[in-house]
Amino acid sequence: MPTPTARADAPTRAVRLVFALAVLALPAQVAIRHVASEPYPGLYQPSFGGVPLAGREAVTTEASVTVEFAGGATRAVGVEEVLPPTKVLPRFVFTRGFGTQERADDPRTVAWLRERVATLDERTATAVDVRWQRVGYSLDDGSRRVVEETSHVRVDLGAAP
Amino acid sequence: MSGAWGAFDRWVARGPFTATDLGRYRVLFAVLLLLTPSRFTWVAPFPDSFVKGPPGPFMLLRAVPPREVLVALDLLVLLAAGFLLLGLFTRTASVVVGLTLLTGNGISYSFGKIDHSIFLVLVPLVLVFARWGDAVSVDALRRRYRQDAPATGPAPAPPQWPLRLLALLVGLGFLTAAAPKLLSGWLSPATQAVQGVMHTQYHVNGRTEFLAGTFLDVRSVLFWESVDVATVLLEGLLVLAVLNWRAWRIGIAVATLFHFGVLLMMNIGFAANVFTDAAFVAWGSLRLPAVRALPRRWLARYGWAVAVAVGAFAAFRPEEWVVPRQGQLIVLLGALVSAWYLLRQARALLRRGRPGSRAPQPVHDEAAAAR
Repeated sequence: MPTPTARADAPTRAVRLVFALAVLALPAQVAIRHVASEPYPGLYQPSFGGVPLAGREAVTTEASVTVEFAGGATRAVGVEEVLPPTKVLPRFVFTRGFGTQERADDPRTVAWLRERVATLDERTATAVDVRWQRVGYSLDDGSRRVVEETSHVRVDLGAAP
Repeated sequence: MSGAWGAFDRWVARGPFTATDLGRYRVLFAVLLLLTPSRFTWVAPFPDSFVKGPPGPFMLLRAVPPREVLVALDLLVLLAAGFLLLGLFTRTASVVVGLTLLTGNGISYSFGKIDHSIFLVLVPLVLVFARWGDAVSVDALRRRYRQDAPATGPAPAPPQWPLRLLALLVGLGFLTAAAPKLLSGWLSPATQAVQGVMHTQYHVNGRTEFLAGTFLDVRSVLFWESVDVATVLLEGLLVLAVLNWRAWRIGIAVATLFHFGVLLMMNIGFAANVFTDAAFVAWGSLRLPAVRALPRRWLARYGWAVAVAVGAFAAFRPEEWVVPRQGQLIVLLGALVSAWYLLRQARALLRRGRPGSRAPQPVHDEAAAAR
């Protein structure tokens, strides 16, 4: 008498294969994330990985952005002001563009930033200064303090005309 | 081994879902897509230097696609959603929706942040195999008119394995969220991770609505550690509930209430997950008024024009015509349905445990055979 396996028709085998692939995709994704970064498409869900606490402080990384103008004046701007509206959290997109000096020095980024800053302020901007800071928020009273500056990125927008 | 395969085959084939359950869910899914404003064009103003696709096919992306391509992707999703709404050319529309969302999201996620909405991509690509266009659809009308069949009688039971597969994928997705938490010390009594996440969401991302301010003042270590443990347990163990449909429905009801808690505490509305979980609701058991005035023959012939008109209207409507707080509303509605379902389960359980009670009644439509 034929066994169920022997009798399994093509659709049944296909279904088994699909389920097997679904299960096997998980370790494959974990490996890719370990070696490179989170893949897409992938089944990953938000992990909020890590414990963002140091003692009685919730810690995170923030960018302090300052625009410098010809004549020496400066203006602090928010990350959301620098970027056009995004459908994902702006700070991640900002990190993509200005997370390191190498990325920020890309001529395409510099040209784009020059245009963006021009829409924020009619004065002639000469540089944008980004200070990446590790910041702590007190769990007790919500007060903010800069724990340390982790890196400094400076984008020279060119000499003032 | 053959016995194991046989048991597996029987397990994936078991399920309580009817063609009407899936047809109604398909309509809801299409409405969600149609109500959601432009998804992909936000990337157009960025320079090519911002593009770095995540590992996978979007690694090949080297530049921001032209605005026209992004608009076309948006339009394609909405036109296909118009066809899904009517259930016309459902198979093609499902595949188009799934692949277009996958592509558009892949482009969006090449700018530094992956938003975890993969389940919305998987829903049409998986449920198309469950023939979610067999009921509440113009496809069904066209088939009936073509075969000159009588107008009454339910559609045949759909294949159940796609629902089991979707449940498995959701369960595995949750597992991916649990593992990093487990490995990074969420269960350590010395740290209260959710408290830290909540504070950073409040101060950094400006998520200060609903009960965020109230939770900010909660200092109980026991409370926050309990939330840490409950989160890891829920996310890590949900996949086990895939084994049994009743357990799965209870599990996703709890998960939906968890999402509602996240919304209240951190103002993050995981609407995509809640809407995916809605695929497992017995929508067919809802008594809806019969629409007798529907021009069925006209729809069977000209439904394509209605689908195109609906999709085009959704694409070109004024930008301000959106449902305010749509995602949060979905999470709230999901929580209400889940609370109702869990209360119903609890009531049935209590009745069953009462001495002298009558023979147990099935607490929902799947009954014992569907387990």
